[in-house]
Amino acid sequence: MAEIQVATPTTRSVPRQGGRWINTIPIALSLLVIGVVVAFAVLGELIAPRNPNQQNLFIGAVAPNDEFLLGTDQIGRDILSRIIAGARTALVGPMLVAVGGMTIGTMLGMLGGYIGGRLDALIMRWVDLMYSLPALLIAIVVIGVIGGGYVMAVLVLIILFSPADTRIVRAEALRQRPLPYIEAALTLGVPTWRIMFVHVFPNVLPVVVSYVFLDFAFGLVSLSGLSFLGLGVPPGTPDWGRMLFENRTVLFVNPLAAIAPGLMIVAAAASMNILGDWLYERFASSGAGR
Amino acid sequence: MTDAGHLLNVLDLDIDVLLPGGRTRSIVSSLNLRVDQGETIGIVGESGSGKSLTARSLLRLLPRGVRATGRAEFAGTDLFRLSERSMAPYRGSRLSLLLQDPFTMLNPVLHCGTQIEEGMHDQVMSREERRAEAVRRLAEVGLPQQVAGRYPFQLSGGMRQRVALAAALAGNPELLIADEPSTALDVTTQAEILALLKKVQNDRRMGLILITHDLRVAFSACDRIYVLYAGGLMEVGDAAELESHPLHPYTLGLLLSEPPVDRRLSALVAIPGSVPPADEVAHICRFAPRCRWAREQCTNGPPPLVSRPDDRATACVRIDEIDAEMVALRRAVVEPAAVTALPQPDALVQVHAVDKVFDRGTTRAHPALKGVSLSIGDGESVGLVGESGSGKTTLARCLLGLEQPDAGEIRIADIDASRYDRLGTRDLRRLRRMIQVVFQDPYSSLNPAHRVGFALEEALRMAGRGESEATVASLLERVGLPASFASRRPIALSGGERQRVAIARALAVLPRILVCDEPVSALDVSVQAQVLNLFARLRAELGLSYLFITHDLAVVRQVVDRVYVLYRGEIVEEGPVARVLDAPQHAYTRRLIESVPSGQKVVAAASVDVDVEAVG
Repeated sequence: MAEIQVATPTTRSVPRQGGRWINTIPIALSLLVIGVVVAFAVLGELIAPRNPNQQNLFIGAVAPNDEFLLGTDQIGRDILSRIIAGARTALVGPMLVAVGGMTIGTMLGMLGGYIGGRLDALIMRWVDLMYSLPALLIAIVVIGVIGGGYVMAVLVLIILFSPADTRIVRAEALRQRPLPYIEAALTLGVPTWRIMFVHVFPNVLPVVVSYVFLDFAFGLVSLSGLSFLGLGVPPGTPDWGRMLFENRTVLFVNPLAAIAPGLMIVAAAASMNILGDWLYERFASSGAGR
Repeated sequence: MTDAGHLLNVLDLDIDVLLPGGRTRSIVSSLNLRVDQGETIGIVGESGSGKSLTARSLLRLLPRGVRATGRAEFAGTDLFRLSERSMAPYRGSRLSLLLQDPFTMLNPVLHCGTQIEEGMHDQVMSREERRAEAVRRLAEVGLPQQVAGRYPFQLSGGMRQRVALAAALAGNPELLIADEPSTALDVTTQAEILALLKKVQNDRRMGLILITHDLRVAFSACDRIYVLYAGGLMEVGDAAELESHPLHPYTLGLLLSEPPVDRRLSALVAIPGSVPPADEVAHICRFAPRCRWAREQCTNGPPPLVSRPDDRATACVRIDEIDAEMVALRRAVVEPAAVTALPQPDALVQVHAVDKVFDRGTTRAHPALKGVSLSIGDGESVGLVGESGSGKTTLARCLLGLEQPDAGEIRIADIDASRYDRLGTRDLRRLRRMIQVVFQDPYSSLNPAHRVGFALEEALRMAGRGESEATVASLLERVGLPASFASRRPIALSGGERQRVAIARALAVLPRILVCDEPVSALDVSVQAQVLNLFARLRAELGLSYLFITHDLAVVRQVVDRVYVLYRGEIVEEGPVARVLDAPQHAYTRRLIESVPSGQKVVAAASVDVDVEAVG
């Protein structure tokens, strides 16, 4: 009596309309930008036209020419080579900030959202406390007073980023908590940790991944800002934020010396943002998620 | 051929989804229908039949990327040819739409009175006149005037639906399109809303298009019925004749799938499979893949709707050959099954005087369960009937340990299950394997992140059974699914298939009791019958006990031996299902039974009683 037809699944009836190319072009461009930055970071010396730290005080700052494609800074260092070398700090720092902040945020958010009760209240009060502090100002003061440079800047940003991530993950975990499939797992006797990691986490993952990308973008901007203020990398290190600071004095001789690293920061941050959004939608429509 | 006699005359309506690259996907094709003044027509169809989009297309309220073509002549004007600007005055004042969900249809930040006044925008009157008119309109739908100053969230679902109806009628439409107006409501409220709708329609001599998935609702309220399946009309005819003598296998299938409320059948005749997407079957007889009478000629192109005597029409090309067989099948099935009177077996579950209060100690404290006692015998199927808010789900959750009762005792086998958190590991583990659950919503009861096989393996592991592929396959087979489903994700399954997987998951731990919380109410009628049959078969094969929670008395009649009626947290009646449904003792049970739509027409002047307490 109870046969069942093995037919193609019924899909959603009304697909999203049009705009395929409008959607894919920014994604392709973003992938390209991130690809270039990663290539810079990985290959570094192999593709840089010269040593990024080699000074040439005789020529000083020059505008772009055949020899120096993006010109040089005040002490004659090649801007292009420094931008290529700067990709490393631009990639590693923000990545640590994003992954570190999200790891703390995921753990706290899952605990608070899924277990709830007093633990949740405790976590959320901590988050409220962190929210009430002006994040970057704190970073400036802490690093300014204790010192510690780039490593300290990354650590402080991890701590400062985690409250926002905690809230996001907690909200998602809370949304999953009352759903029947979680309750079905409970009645099967699935242990709490397993429900959290195997049942709740995959459904929180789309949000986690997209926020890692957003955090990366914001981390890059923050770290560059700190470097600009002299609180990040030590002087002399090729770093985009630092270059922005050092080369503002040669703006009229070689504007690209400051503009190019600035553009790199913007392009990399924007690309990460776009990719984060895109991944979120991919996840969401493939069934994990809503 | 403009037919001035009809209020609305829809000709060759096609609804398509526009896909990228200029392609289209058909949702509804070549639909013809007409409504006369003062007439009620029903559009009946399961999910995916295109009935809601048909309704919206008439008001030209289709979502972006969906296109309607054809003609929709309303009092001589083709609505599809009007400009957006000249269409606007038609909406609300000449044609109006009443939607299913009373919880989202009203704007939560506006007073109910204001929402009714909104619809009077084209009538010139002062603010006071408008106010007075809104109050008069509320009276028309049986609500006191205080409701005008309330927000929607302060009202019950039935009252909201009444306000929505008053708002839809505010512009004095000549035609009202009601899209599942009673589906989201409780049975008793459902009957009230239908009666009200009919009364208003009668008083105003208005045309009414009632869109529903529920044949019983359609038969009780409509003059003429259009049966829609996967985007095509299967049959058209007078409601009474359609019910007594369907001229299409699909209509017959629907009638047979519908469990009768007045008797128990040994098994329901389910339509195999589930509704396919319209465009997959648009080139053949849409029902052929699921039809027991399908022959080669059925797949030779889409059959036209052929007129029959008595103003009827059918799209079945073989109707003359199979008519006699259909009649015979109907008659054969009507024979009721002998209900075997079970001796009261030993109690497996015993619930004694359980209380549960939500938000205890706050001003919002309200009791969900008050001194509820209930027992389920070994191998017995027990029903728990009640409307939303009666506490039936709370009781189920207490049994499963998802809630803690505040007082009272729950014993399952020899284990004290009143407080799951105080149980030792061994007892807890035994209990988890003893009692399992099937939830209502098939769309959220499976984790979308995991494949079917993963979910079943996990359940097997919890029970300490081998998690081999063969065991998973046998579980799937037990619920009537092929083993290949193990590699599917829930998103690729239909509602009925998901519910089967949910049942398989519950069965994985070899439970003795299955708590089924409205397990079929979210499913289409044809699929509902399959799942009900599955429950019956599993009980016979495995000797399971059921606690079957539902609001649907017809379902209760088919699957349970004994039934408890829960009303506002208290058990008001208990007894063998036949006794309770045939000779109810409690006034509330009687009201529940009377509310079930039957073949008889809804009495136009049905009493409209309103919970004044809630209005305050």
